[in-house]
Amino acid sequence: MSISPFSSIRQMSKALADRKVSSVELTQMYLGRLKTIAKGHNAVAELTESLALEQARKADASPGKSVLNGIPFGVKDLLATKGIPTRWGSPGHADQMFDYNATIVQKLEDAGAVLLAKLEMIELAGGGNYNVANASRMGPCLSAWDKTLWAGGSSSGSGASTALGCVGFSLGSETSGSIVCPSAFNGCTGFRPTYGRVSRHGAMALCWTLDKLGPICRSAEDCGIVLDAIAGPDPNDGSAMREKLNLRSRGPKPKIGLVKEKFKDSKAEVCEKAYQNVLDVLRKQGYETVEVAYPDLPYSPAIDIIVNAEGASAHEHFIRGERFQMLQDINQVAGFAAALEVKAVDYLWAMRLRSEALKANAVWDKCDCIFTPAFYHKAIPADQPFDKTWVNMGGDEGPSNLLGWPAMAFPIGFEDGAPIGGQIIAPAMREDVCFRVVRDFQRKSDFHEKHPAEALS
Amino acid sequence: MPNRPSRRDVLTAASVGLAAMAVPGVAAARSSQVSTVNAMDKEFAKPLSEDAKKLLAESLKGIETASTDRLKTKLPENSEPCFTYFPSSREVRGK
Repeated sequence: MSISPFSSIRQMSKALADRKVSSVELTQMYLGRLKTIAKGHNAVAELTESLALEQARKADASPGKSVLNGIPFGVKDLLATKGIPTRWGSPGHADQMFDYNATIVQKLEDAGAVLLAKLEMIELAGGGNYNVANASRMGPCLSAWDKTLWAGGSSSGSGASTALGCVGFSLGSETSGSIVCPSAFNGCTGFRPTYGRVSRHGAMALCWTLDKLGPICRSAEDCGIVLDAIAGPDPNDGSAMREKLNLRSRGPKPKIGLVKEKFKDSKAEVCEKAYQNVLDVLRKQGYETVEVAYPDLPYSPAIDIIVNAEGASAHEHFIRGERFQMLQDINQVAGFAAALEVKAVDYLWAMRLRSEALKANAVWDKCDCIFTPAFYHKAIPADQPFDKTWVNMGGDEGPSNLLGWPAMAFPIGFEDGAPIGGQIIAPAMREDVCFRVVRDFQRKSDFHEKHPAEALS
Repeated sequence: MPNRPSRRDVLTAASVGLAAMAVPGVAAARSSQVSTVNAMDKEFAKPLSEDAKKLLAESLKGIETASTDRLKTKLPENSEPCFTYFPSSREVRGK
């Protein structure tokens, strides 16, 4: 077998079809890397070795079922997997097991993909306002590029394992930043779809009206393949939309909106250069840019109130139960407990603001998507409290999560050897625009093809 | 890491503001938080540690601040929240 662990899904699929490699061989390769490399980054919650080898044998016996047939993957441990522990990153849920698969896990199984592992995450997706990287059952998940840095959260293990070439691709979830952040901190390409594009059935709820599930991969092309497989309606999730996903965007190149950035105030010279480079690459391909601004509304405070209220409600039984204080981060204990006190009028204000915030869709009169850095800097240290280190990081302060808009995060450069990321944000249900722009950038750049030295040895 | 001001950020801002004002109401607010924390503590299956209680008091202050701050954004009177209830004859929604 001679196939790189960093191969794209299409490369692996072709190698499988041409019988140059078997799914069992691919699976064994990735299992070996998960056991050694990924575990060294605290990225693995549970290996599913026997299931993986069984699924791989089945895939080898039925070639050509789908482009994902025989492709090994990992999932954030927030997704239910039948008969396999699903711990939500939380020591208090160590013995939790479901007797069914989350819809997206089942969809991938039906497509012939091979489940290698449950990947570590911030406990309860960080809804209690975590303040340390250690807010995770397996300890701090470490960046694929530098073990002194945090892998980001809350889909920490998905980002690190994918960047380390320990899975073919992975799944993550985002309430407010949890796909974009680990993608940026590990140099992955992550796709946060429109709210409702992907069924949430079988996923831990942190916030019913904000949670999204999506792929974390090594390229836009891979993200497109995975999203295509997991999107679609689901009788078990009333919020899952019926509109068909179509990533084949045609017509003139989308116009890119640019919001006012704070590079200077944030001491982000490296990021500014990377940002300008992305624009140069895209402009050479014929993309036009225009300055835009969102209406000035308190998007982030509204998200905070909504996450508090819905998170406390979703986990109230646990919060009031015997195991609550088993949470790793005492800030999470305080945060979830305090969230029980959010007033109904505050929550309803936030949900009314959300209606008002729809005015922000006016930005799409001027452009088709927005390009902005995921953060202004590389990942923060893994061993210090975030309130000391999360400085000048920036990030999308607009309405994209509140309004359920899709975004694709992708690597745009490096700062002191660690990746920095950008993101393309698009209107609701226009994942095709994110996909097209990032794919075009990646056709003319190679940041997504760079891999950590540790993973290449 | 959520891309939003955390309760900690809000709290820091609030603490600075409170320290600057140094008004008598501060003591009353602190006393109210202590009693809320103590009342809440009795509702949990296990009592909170002293450290957790301190952080809980800070988090509660942050929630109070958010509750006050949001009043600065006036919404249209009677505007609708972004959810709608759909009646259904089925036992479970979405099925």
